[in-house]
Amino acid sequence: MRFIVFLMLCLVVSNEALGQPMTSDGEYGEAFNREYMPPIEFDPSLFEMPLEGAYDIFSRTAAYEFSAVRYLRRGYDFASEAYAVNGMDLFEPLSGRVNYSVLSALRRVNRSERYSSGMAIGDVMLGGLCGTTHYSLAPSQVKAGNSVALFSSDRRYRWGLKASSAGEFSRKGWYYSLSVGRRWGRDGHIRGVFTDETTGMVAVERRWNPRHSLSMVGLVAPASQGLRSAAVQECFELTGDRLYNPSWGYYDGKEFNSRVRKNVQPLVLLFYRWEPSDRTQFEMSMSLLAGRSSYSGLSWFEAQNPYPDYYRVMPGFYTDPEIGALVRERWLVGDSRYTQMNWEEMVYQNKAARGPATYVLEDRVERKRNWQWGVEMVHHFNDRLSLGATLRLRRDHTLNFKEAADLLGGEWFEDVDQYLIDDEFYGDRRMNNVRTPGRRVTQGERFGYCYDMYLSRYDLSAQLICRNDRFRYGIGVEMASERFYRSGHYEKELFPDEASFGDSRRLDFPEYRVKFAAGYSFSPRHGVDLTVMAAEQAPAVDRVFLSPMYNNYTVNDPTTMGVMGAELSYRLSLPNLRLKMTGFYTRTRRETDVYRYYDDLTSLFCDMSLSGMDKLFYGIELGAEIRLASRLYLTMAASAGEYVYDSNPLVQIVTDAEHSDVVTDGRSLLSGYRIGNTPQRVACAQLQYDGARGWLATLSLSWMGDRAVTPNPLRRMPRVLTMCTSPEMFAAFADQESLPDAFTVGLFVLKSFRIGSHSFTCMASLSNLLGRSDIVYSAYEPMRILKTGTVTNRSYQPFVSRYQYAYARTYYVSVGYKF
Amino acid sequence: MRVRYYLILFLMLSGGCGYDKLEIDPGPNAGDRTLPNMRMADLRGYYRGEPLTLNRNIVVAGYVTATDRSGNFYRTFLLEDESGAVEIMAGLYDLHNIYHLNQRIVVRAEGLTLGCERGVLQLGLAASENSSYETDYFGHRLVMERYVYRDSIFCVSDPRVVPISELTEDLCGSLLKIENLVADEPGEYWGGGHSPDGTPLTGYRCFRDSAGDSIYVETSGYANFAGRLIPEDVLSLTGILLQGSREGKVCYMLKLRDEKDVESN
Repeated sequence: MRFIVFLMLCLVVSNEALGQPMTSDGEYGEAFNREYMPPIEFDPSLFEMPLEGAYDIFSRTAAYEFSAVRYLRRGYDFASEAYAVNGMDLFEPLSGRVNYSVLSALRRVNRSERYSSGMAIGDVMLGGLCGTTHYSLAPSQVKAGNSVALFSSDRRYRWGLKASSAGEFSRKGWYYSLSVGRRWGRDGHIRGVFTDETTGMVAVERRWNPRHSLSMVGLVAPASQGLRSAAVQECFELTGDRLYNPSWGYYDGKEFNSRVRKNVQPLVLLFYRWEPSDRTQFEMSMSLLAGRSSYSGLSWFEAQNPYPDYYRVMPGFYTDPEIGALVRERWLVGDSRYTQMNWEEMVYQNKAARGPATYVLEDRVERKRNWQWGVEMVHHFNDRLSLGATLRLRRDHTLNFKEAADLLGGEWFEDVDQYLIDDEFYGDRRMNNVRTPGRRVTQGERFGYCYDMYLSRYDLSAQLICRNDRFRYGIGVEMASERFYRSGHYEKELFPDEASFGDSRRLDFPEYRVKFAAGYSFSPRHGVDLTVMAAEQAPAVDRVFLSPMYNNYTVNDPTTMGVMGAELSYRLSLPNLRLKMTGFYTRTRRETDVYRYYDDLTSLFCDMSLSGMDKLFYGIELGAEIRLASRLYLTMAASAGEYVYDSNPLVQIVTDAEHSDVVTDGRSLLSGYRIGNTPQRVACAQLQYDGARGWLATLSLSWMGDRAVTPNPLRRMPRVLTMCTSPEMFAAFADQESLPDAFTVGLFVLKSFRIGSHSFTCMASLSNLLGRSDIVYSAYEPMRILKTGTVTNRSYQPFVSRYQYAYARTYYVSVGYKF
Repeated sequence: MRVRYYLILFLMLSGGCGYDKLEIDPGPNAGDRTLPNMRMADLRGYYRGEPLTLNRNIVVAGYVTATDRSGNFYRTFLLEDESGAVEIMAGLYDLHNIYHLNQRIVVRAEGLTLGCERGVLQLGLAASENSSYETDYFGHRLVMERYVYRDSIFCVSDPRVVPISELTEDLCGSLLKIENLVADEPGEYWGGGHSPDGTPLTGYRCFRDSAGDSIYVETSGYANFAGRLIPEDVLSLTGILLQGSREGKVCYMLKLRDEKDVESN
């Protein structure tokens, strides 16, 4: 026990003392690429193997085997899976996404979990559209014992250590659970990518008797990660490296990445369980999450774009063949002053300015406070009928601001809108905050924007589940109400008074979700299940506010998104065969989205809002496990579907500076286009040998096909398409680029040894065994349009797509000791 | 037991990273301190009315006197030593951050083309045969870095005060100050307004001194002060001297660097 506590202290000390910066508080343009969302990572260690039987075959396989591409199960490009931990919902309504920082940390600590597949009604929660995972950190529910593991990988980090301990430390009903872990190191393939991550969890439970228990959990996972940016194909061809990352560069011989994500979001959970009878369980929980996450980036003031892949500095842009050849030659020889961020030059220019910094490394910070309180009740009337009910309240508050992380040799800079400095119309209204005019910003200070987002939500749900020998029925209803608003701290000169300063209007959204499930078992071995669902969901905040960084303006008539879906499953369980086949159909309606971009047709920064966007997702999933021999299994998982846009959304475009109309009642002709990136067809065959004496080996063959680049709504607008003067130009804008199919082979080997009651495990996995480096992980179409020619003889072409390629062959090895 | 604790501690501490800690060297920038082997005035002496490719080891050095910060100068900057000035045909944007005002710059001119435009000596690449200009832009930092080098020395020198009557072609490109000027059209804008299609136009404003001599001030429509009003006072104007043509006559013109070059007497 003291040993584990000592380990935790070491991790915290090393985290603090060795430069992991815990900074104190104190889109536009082509430079801001979409964030890189890493695939769901699986560390095949002793601590994270899913509970046997908790996941259906397809879910379990899909979580690991299709990570070479940006796989979205069933094509859902919105938050469709529900995650909760002891009553705390991990979904963040303000961002419209799951809190992946906390989720990732949860997967690295002692926990138990329950999973419901697809649209199924969960045991405790009503559940999501595509799977519900409920984690429990209660020490008494975690397998007792101690364990230590050392692991290594060449993907995102190099080394890792993990230790955990759980058990009863007093016969008076005290239980504990501890987990500490550390992952650090640079990626072995992608320059600039690194991980410096610590996880610590302490959980204590007091059980007065089997019916009363009170648990307290503290979880913290400070992390710093260097990220990769997408790039154009020309960069990959010139460097010969499909994992080229334009975000990093050298300074003083060392690598530094301009895009670093940092998170520290400590979480405290308190939950109380009470079973007044054998048939009734109550759990009351309270959680508090308070922390900070940030992304770094660069700001520049009246200076050249510092990104090496900016289109104007790429060899292909130059019409002068000699200059183009010169630049190309620099790329081919790998001159990092041109192929990567030139930190030396940025520092040079800042120092030469002798005061005002031209380039600034900034952090875009979200300081979060999330408080949740919930009560869950489950009552089993008898063995066949159960009722569950949940009441939840939550308050979210996020303070958003930019912070000057590093002035790169400069001393200060003026807090002005960098995009308006040269603007002939709005250049005299460029102050970010008129209440502090001419303010000089120094290192560590806020600038640019500063605003709060407040959200309050309550939801009430109930589910009734009835079973008899052959039939199962379930019905679940959830009603919720959500309110959020913005409150600006800066009065932007472009948007004076309440247009940017103070509170915006309150936005209220009622939500509901209804599920009906029915199942019939033909025999104990096979049966069918049907679930239908209807819901109305509030939009995410960044799809309601046009430009929340700078003003209080919202889209016209923000509304909830409608979801209707159904799934029909057939399951079969024989001694040598387990099979589940599911057909699904989901339709979303009235989705909204907001884009902030530079409109080349008007040469203005604009905000585009889309509304009335419908999408259709339907298909079939198959998961099967066949026992070929006593120790040999064949697992197969496959899915085929159609995930498409099902309407032409309404488009409104306003200028960012004046909020004046550019396009009203426009349309984007998206109907029929495929949802981007995710494969619409996947298949995996996995051969597993479960050998004697602790051997386990699996060989996986995975195929992912029928993929396309995410379509850009601007290109499919009539205002763009009508400019096309040739079929080729029209096709360049209208056609949706297909991505090549991906095929990977994976190998996993495990050997465990028993040493009395202890066990020692070694495992190794190789992903993409064939080393294929031509697999596109994801791609998107930029919003920019290239104009060439003269005013009277203009030609247009879309900017080329930007890609991220998947890793070639990577490894993971782990040595664990359990005692 | 103690050994195990220390070993674990060592492993933990050795795992510390600081990958995102950019430690900037606090010292000044390094610079090229090469001494010139020729003055600007001597370089001007090479020019014989047509562009000339320099095939000798010629090194000139000077201080930046005008940049593109205000937008009045476009993709070029001016260097001046004690004898004269030359315009560097960079062909890049936001030059003022790369070559700072008052910064010492060294130019190794062998291989460059010497030209003259509106009386201002220019150094750049050879122009194409069909070009109406005598020199072409460098067009890229890669090309510039072969010829143009930055020093870490800065020197602020006062502009030479010259009356209109003493202006000569040799002074073209130099930073001059002309005092006691009054605008022919006070209350006008520095710039020339906009064309029907919205293109900003260059403004030419005539100023006279007490002797009645006149000089035009040329202001690009893209300059950030183009929309400012010309003061009605008696002014001292600082700018780069060049030649131009107004109403069919060749005349001297002054190009201001920014609004601070306008002083009321």
